[in-house]
Amino acid sequence: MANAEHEELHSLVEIPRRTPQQVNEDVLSQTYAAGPRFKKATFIFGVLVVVGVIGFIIKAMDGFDDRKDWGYYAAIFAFLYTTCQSALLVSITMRLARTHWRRPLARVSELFAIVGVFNLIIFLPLLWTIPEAEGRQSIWFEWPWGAPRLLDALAMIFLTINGLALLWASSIPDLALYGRKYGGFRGAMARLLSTGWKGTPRQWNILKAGQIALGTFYWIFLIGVVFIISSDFSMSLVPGWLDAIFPAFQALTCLQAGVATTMVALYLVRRIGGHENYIYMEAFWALSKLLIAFTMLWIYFWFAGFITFWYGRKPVEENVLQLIMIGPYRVAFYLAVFLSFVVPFLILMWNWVRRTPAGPTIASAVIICGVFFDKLRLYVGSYSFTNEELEAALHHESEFVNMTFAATGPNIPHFFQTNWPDFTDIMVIIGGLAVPFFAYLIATKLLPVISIWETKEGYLLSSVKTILKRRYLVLAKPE
Amino acid sequence: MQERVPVPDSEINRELLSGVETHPKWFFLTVAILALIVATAGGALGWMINQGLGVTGLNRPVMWGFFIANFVFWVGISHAGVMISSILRLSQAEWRRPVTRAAEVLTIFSLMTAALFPLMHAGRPWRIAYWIFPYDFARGIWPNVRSPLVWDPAAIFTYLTGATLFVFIALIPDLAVMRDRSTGVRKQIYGFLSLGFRGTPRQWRLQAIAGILLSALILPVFVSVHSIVSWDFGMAISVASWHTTVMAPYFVIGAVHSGVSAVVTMMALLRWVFKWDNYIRPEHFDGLARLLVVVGTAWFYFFILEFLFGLYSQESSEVTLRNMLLYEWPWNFMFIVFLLTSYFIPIPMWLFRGVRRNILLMFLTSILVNVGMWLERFLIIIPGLMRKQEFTFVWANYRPSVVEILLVVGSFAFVAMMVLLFSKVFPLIPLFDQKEGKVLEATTKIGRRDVPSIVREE
Repeated sequence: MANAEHEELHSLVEIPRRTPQQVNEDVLSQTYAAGPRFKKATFIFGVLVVVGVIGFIIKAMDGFDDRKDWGYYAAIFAFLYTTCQSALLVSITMRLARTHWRRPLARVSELFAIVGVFNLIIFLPLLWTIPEAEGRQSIWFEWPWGAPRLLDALAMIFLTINGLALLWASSIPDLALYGRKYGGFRGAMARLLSTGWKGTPRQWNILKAGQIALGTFYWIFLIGVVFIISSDFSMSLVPGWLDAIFPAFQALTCLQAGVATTMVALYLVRRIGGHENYIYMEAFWALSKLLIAFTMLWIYFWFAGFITFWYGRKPVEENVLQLIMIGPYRVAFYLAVFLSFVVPFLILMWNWVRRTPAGPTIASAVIICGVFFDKLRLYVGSYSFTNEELEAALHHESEFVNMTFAATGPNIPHFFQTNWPDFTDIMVIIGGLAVPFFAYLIATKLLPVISIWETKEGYLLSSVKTILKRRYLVLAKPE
Repeated sequence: MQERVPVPDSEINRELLSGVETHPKWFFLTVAILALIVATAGGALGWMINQGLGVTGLNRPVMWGFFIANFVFWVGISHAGVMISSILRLSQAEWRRPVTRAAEVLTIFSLMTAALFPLMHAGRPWRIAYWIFPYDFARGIWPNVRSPLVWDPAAIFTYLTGATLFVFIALIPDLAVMRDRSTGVRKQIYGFLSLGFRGTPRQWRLQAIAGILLSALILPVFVSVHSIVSWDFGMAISVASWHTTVMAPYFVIGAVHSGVSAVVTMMALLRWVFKWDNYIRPEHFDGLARLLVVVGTAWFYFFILEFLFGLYSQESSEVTLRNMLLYEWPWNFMFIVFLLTSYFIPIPMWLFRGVRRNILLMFLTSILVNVGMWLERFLIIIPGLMRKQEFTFVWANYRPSVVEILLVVGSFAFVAMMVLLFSKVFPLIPLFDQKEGKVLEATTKIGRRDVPSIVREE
């Protein structure tokens, strides 16, 4: 058995090869054409997005003063940035690490930058749901210039623009091809966006340096945004919740969910998008190794936070555990642990499962569900408290605060009450979940979903060598 | 770009076994000097045991001082081995090959050194037995299994066992080479240790599988060790700055930062001392520096979280402590030195390829990191204890005594001496790994250029 496994480990993972002309033809024609299935799917998801917009309008008519009404909306926003906006990290990181297997998935992950635009629109109304930084615990302390709302908004705007810039920069050579092949409005737009790309050595150098710079900035912005969102829109809204690992835990969730989202998109593009020749098994295998590493880190980060509270047993820490783990949102919490760790770990621990496209994809889909429940328990729970309670907590003034900091028991209201979704919340959830599908479908017709130039570069840098009767992949390392 | 130096297999054996097969004068002189320092530290330890902990600078409320800071530091250094060997092996980083053995050996000796410091800290080391073994049933003295102080030895000894196995498994093919090249008693010892390794396909397969399995199995231990050490502090609610949820990953990533930096220091020394220029090349320092940029930045992120969320609470004890670190002499000086040496000097320098491939600069910057990381441990432990009480009249200062300083210096000499002695008996660069790396080298012609290539290992 061991021998067989070892043989399998060392077998060559064949990369299907196409000529450069075939690559151009296959990918560009798929981008240009829009079949009836595509149109039907776009229409359905578009309708669902409209349902979400209607839900939002109904909510907005009641105003933003009662924060409790916006918990599910905030959770959906957090879910989208954790899954979709983090998906870009996969391509960025693997490009920085110079891995060859990133080529089939580079564009698949970068296209999620389009979803970021929709999520930015979802985010902006949330700014009116959080209180000023003054008079409560906040990461901004007494910062005088626009904290927290203006700075939060700027951070999200920069992140979104950075993502779009990266997507555009990475697509320039493919846009030039597209512009040469097709006329009409789309061809003209492609020519315009390709900014006179000729493929000179200087242009290639600038492109590659730009990708690295934009990718590095995206990393920094995303970690920064996770930091301020998880603090301003969750932790600092709960009296006495002081959890230094929380932003790091949320950032780690972003990495796990980003890989999972890319994996699911990769599978769908391969199966439904008809790109079997370009998205080969190796990408799934390599991504699944990353995914299991992040899955184990997920439980480690959660445990590191949990055990410090559980062992410390300060009353306020017990109350926080009550709120987000064992109290009103315990079902969501159990589901989050089960779906973000237990199930994916049990699936991904087997190498033979990791070496199939379906196995890691199922694990990824499960993880995405886990992220959804994780965000529900965190954001809906955090949105339960009023501004007055936060202010009182800072100054230790009210009966509520005494109970929060000095005792536990069934009388502390918000730590024990579940905020169930109403009809508008359900509409918002449906619309929010439809957003990535709708935006991504549109994005696949704006840009090639397979990075043509990176695929061709991969062909150039790889070959097959025979050592002792076995065939191995040889990868050139020019850098 | 890789800078390959073609070396025949026989030359690899000769050059990499030079440490074992030749007996230069510098070796004995260096070992003698290190042994003298260790003996001096041993004398100081004997004095301390005889006189009691009163000869140290420990005093209420600062009852954890240099010994515990040094314990945490050496546990941190021990994270080098698994980071380099296990993670880089699993991720198939080709540049890992000459670095693995030295990193693993550093792990073993630094862990052994770390384990000594809680014993010293006990004042009467044999009293540790009360703590570990329930020796006296009648008086009902039992170890408290819920205490992180009991988890520590369990974690450290598990890690030490795993790391030793890790080194041994990787040594087997080299031991077989040494068996075949030696005579007399040495041949018998190497023959015994090489477990009859002949290099058959089956033996290679088993050795490779054992290496991969150990790489994967040791990872949770690797993470748990420093997490548990961090919980010695993180579980305490009475000391400002200790009780924070970020402690575990902050300690682990800090350990990797200091451990990998220590490997860089050691690799530079090995290259200079043994003249292994053909094996430890600038590209390897380049790879390690790139890794350190990522690890160091991640560590800095956790540092920010730890520091910022201390202030976020707006509790007076936390604010007082941060105030002391930022504004009170000499703590502010130490704090600035810590930040500069552990992050702001080395990391920006490593962004430049010229620095990454300059061995002297890499050597110096890697030492800086460990100066900073030692200070970090010191600044985590001591200031918190100094301001433990709310009443200012029970605040106290801490100054290490000569005994403590000698024991800390002795620990550095001990690790260096043990690594040198190891190099006298076993090769510090794996022979078989070097040869395997050569087999996997290839060249691809792209246009008019021959591009260095690698056969992928899966």
